[in-house]
This record gives sequence, structure tokens and C-alpha cells, in this order.
Amino acid sequence: MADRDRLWGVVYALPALALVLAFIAYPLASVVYHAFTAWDGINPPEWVGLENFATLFEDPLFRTSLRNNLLFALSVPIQVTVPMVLAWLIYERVPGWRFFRSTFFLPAVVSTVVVGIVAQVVFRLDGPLNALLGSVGLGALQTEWLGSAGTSIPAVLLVVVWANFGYNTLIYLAGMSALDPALREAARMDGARPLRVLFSVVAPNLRRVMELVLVTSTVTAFAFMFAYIYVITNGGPGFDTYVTEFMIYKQAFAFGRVGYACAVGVVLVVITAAIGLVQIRVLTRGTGA
Amino acid sequence: MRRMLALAGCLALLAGCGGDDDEQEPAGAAAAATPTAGTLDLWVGGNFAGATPGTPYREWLDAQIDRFKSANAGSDVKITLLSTDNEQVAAKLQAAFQARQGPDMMLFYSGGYTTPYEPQLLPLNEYFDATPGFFDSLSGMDLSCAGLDCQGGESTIIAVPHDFGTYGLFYNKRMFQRAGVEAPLATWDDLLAACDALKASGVTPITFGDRDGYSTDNWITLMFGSTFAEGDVAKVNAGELPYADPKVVGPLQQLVDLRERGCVNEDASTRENFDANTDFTSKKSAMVLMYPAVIPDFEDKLGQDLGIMPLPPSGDGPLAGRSVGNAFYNWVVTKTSDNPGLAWEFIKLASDEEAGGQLLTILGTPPAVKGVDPSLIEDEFVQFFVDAAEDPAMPVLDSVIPVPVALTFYKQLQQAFAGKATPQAAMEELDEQLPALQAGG
Repeated sequence: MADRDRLWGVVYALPALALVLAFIAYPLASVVYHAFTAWDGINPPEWVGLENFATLFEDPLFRTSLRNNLLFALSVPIQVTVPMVLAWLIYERVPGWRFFRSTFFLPAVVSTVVVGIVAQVVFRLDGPLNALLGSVGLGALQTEWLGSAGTSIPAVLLVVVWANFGYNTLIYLAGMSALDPALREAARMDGARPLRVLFSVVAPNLRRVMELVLVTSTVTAFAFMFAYIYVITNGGPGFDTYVTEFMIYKQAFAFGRVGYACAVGVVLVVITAAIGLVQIRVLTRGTGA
Repeated sequence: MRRMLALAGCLALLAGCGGDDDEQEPAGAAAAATPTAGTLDLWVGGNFAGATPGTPYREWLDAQIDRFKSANAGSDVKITLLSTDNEQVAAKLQAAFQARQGPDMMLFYSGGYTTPYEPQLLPLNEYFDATPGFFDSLSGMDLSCAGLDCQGGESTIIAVPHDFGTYGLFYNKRMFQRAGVEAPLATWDDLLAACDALKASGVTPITFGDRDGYSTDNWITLMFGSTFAEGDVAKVNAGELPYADPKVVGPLQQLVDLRERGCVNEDASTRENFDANTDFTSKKSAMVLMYPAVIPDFEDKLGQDLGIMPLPPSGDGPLAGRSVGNAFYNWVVTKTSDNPGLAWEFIKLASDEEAGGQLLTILGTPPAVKGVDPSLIEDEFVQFFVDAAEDPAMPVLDSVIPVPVALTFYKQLQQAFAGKATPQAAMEELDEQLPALQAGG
């Protein structure tokens, strides 16, 4: 009977397995294979061994891209802590909490491309941000925000934080609603103030949620920046805002170096996975998880 | 279960490893195929990607399709608009050719943009041979042949040139008048003086949309006409004339000087090429360098205020003063076409004198076909570009060089123009990258 159940289990899993193989395993294997080839995406690939990887580690553009990914990762602490505080305020039902709950989440339901286009207009030399600065007597601060790395990377970073914190707030809210209310009540009865309750009682119990937010925000900084960069700066000016994903796209489709782009992709997956694993390892240390 | 998963994983890996090693289809047809009635799939790129109903581009395409349907009973053409973004086009073509699902024919950028797809394109020599007089009826054939040299039709022909493209310096007559500037500007110094006068009158003299390096490229490619000698474009393409040569760096430095002098919009490096047109037509600037296809829109927006002149010579090279240009677009038939004979019939029709005349009257663009009735030209702007097509000194550089090199060239131009690298350093950087860019893969 047990064998029969197991057989049925396998049969039921087969459609899902087929999808995983077709849309995850096969493309992944194909990318890994092509990382060792010279391939233009059309004509037959030519095996070149480790040549793409050797080129990659010598490529200054790859270093620039990776450095920019790291700069975008600087937003992770903000993306982890600010949404938690906001979620706490909503959870505590501060005056206007219903309004805040919907407005915080609003950026998350807007298409990334739309967010990018709006941001590009806002940061333009003749855009509303500079107009606002001028109208409040801060004309000296007016600048071409997307015109240099010094301002364009923080500008994009700000957009990413703004666009993503609604999701993270929602995740924290879900985590908070699963907490035992008795914990909070007990802390309050012991005289703890709201912030003390948040950081000493709620936050430690949201460790798994924080882990999720931390890992997804970090992965975003490394592997989900493409749409923002493509729309807001197109990697420019020059190569100032290139990120690794953008480099993969450019190498594959602008330069026809699909094999090389696959090699960059493989390295990016390894880096992202390694960072994610380290984060999970550190966060779950001592929890028995 | 674990064994099953492992087996499935291995199969996937094997599939991944073998997926792209299939034999390619044999080289093009040995003889011209006989057309049979059917519906042709046509993909159009570049500016034609904007050929939505109601636009001049669509009007021209529809006119040719109507003629084709009249001449070929039971046949039709289905148009697919490609992206205006070259990278997205490349991605689509890669996928289409991999899947053997390409169109019957395409109208897209010529030269270095077409040659990378040569293995997927039908050699057209037999079709030309079967159409006496067709080869000689077209100008600018070289960019449509393998190696960008037709050798009088002896080398492999992979495309049919569609137009003659170059750039003209459009200007706002009223702004010039207010600033006391007289057109046309005869020398580079005149351009600088006009710039100062226009600035003094409170106008942005020139608009650039250089986010992708396109504006700098449009300018510099014409300015090479003032520094290059006969054959220099081919030498650059062959690596015999480095990009760091003074013939290339000099004009780039002149453009950087133009920006530093305040002659172009401050946000040039973050605006797109089309933004430059918008700024010009919305009267924010006095000049913009553009190709003929913008004529209908510019005339509509600026009316009597619109003027045009050639870019004044920026140097005293042996070709200075002559135009620079070539076919910006060409027609190709793909090897995946199951009706190449019919595709050829359409291309022949879309390349004849009647189609050329409509290209002039509808789009204001000089056609590649020779012998179009000159009385069709009623517009001074169209006449300007027709005159430029008479005796071009050389093709534009980025139509000739391979796409990866062109895109890196644009990027380095943009770097230099934005002041992020010196012109010399930017071009030296390009020279360093050339071997990898030309190797591809």
C-alpha cells in the first residue's frame, strides 16, 4: 500500500516536475553550458573552456557593475528596518493607520517601468525635483541628478527603496499579526514603552520574517535591478550605473556575446547564492533552524 | 524518487548541452525560387518600427502592399513592427532564428546591423541575375553585400538597399533672425559665432539627446567628412586606422569644445535622441541635426520657421564639403522563408521607381533607386537630402562597423562628450576593446 501511495505521489508530482525541469533546470543547465562557449546566440556555439571566466575577471566593466550592485546593497539595512517600524506603527493603529496601510503599499502595485519613467522625469534637470528646490530657495542644490555617479546611484537607490518598502511592510505586518498578543501585553504591563516593545519583544520574535526580508532585499540589489537601471539611466552616464544584470543584457543582445553573458550570469548566481546562504546561516545561528 | 530526479536532471543537462549544436541550414538557394501566392511575413525595424496606422511610414508600407496585392492575386503581406530598441530586436532575431521561426523578409538597418545575420539571410545573387537591370538601378549597393563590397555584383548579395540616409542641420529661422544670425553657416567658426549670438538672445543653440551617444555619433560621423580621406572609413573598419587617430579624436574634441562653450543643452547626456527633436519643435532650441524622416513632423510643427543647411565643414580634409551618407535601411529575405520567390517579388516592387517616388513624397526620404522623377520633389527639405544623395564622399562610419563596435563607439563618444573621459582616452579605450568586440561570442 505504501509503495502504491508513493507511486501515486510521484505521478501527481510529475507535471510540476516537468515544469521545473523545462523552465528552471533546462535553462540553468543551458546557461552553465554556454558559459564555456563563444556563442552569438544564433550560430553554433564554440567550446572555449574557461576563457570567458578568465576574461570576466579581467573586465573592468564587470568590476564596476559588481561595485554598483554592492552600492545598491547598501540600501538593505534601510529596507529591513524602516518597513518594520512602519509596520509597527500600523499594527499599533496610530491615527490614520488605514490611510498609511494603503499608501505604503501603493508603490508596490505600480509597474517597475512606470516607477522608472516617473523617476526619470522627476530627476531631470528641468524636472519637478529641481523646480521644487528652486521654489523653496534651495536653487543652489539644483543639479542634473542622473548626470553623474555621485548623484545617480543614490537617486536610483532611493527609488528602489521607495518602490520596495511597501512589500516589506506587508510582510512584517503579516508576521506581527501572527505573534502572540500576550507577549506585548506582558511587556506593557512591565512598563515597557512602545519602542522598547518593538525592539525587545516584537523584533526578536520576527527573526524569520527579518530573514526573509533581508535575503529578498539583498537578492533584489544584485539580481532585480535591471528594470530600474534600464529605464532610469540606461547604465549611464557612461558606465556609471551599470549593474551586473544590465551588463548581462548588453553583452548578450547588444554585443552578441551570449556565451560571455552566460559566464557573467553564472558568476552572479554564485555570488547571490553565497551571500544569501551566509545571511541565512548567520540569522539562524543558535535558533536550531 | 531521488534516482528519478537525478536521471531527469541528467537528461535536462544533456538537452542543454546539445540544444544548439544542430546543423545550420545549407547556404542559400542555388536558384531563384518561383513565387507562389501566399501571405508574406514582413518584420520592420528602425524608424519603420513606428509604422503604426496613420503614420507616414505606414502609409508608405501600405501603398506598397496595395500595389503588391494588385500585381499578385491572392497574396498579402503581414507587417510586424520590431522594437525601436536595437537590443530588443537582436534578442527577438536570436530567438526567431534559433527556433527557425523567422519572417519571410525584413526591412531594417543596413551594413554592420545586417551582416551579423548573414548566415540566416538568403543570398540574393540568383534573384538579381534573374532580374536584369535591377542591380544597376540601385545606388549604394556595397553596404548590402558580404564584406560590405559588392564587387560589381560578384560578391554575395545579402540585401537590397532601400534609401539614402544622411543628416541635415535643421534650424529655426525666427530664432536665427532674432539673434542676428545669417544662414547657411559656411564655416565651423560661423557655427561657433552663431552659438554665441543665440545664447546671448536667450536660446539654447543646439539640442543633443546623447543618453545613448547617438547625437554625438550623428555629428561626428558627418564631421569625419572634413578629416577623412577616401577609403578611411574602410581602414577604420579594418583596424588599419585606429580610433585614437587625430582624424577621429579631432572632431570629437571639437564637439566637446562645443559643449563646454555652452552651445548645447545642459542635460544633453541624460536625454534621449528623440528628446532633441521635441526640444527643437517645441522651440526650446535653435538647431538640431537630424535625418530626412523627421521632415513631415518638423514642417508640421514649425511651418515657415523651419530651415535646413549642411553641417559646416569642421576641417580641411580632402573630402570636406561633400556629403556623408548611405542606405540606412535594406531589405533582406531570410532562409526560413518558405516563399522566397514571392518575397523577392515584393522587394522588387518596393524598390522600383514608383515606390521610390512615394518614399520622396510621403516620407521625404531619397530612395536607393535611381531615376525617380525629379518633378516629384516640391519641398526644399526633400531637395536638400536628394542633393546630398548625388555624390556622397563616404558612408557613415557606424553603418559600416560591426554592431558591437558601433555600440561601444557610441558609449565612448558619450563618455567623452559628457566630460567623463578625454576624447583621446575614450578612443584609446575603444581601440583596446576592439579585439574582444570583433571576436564576438
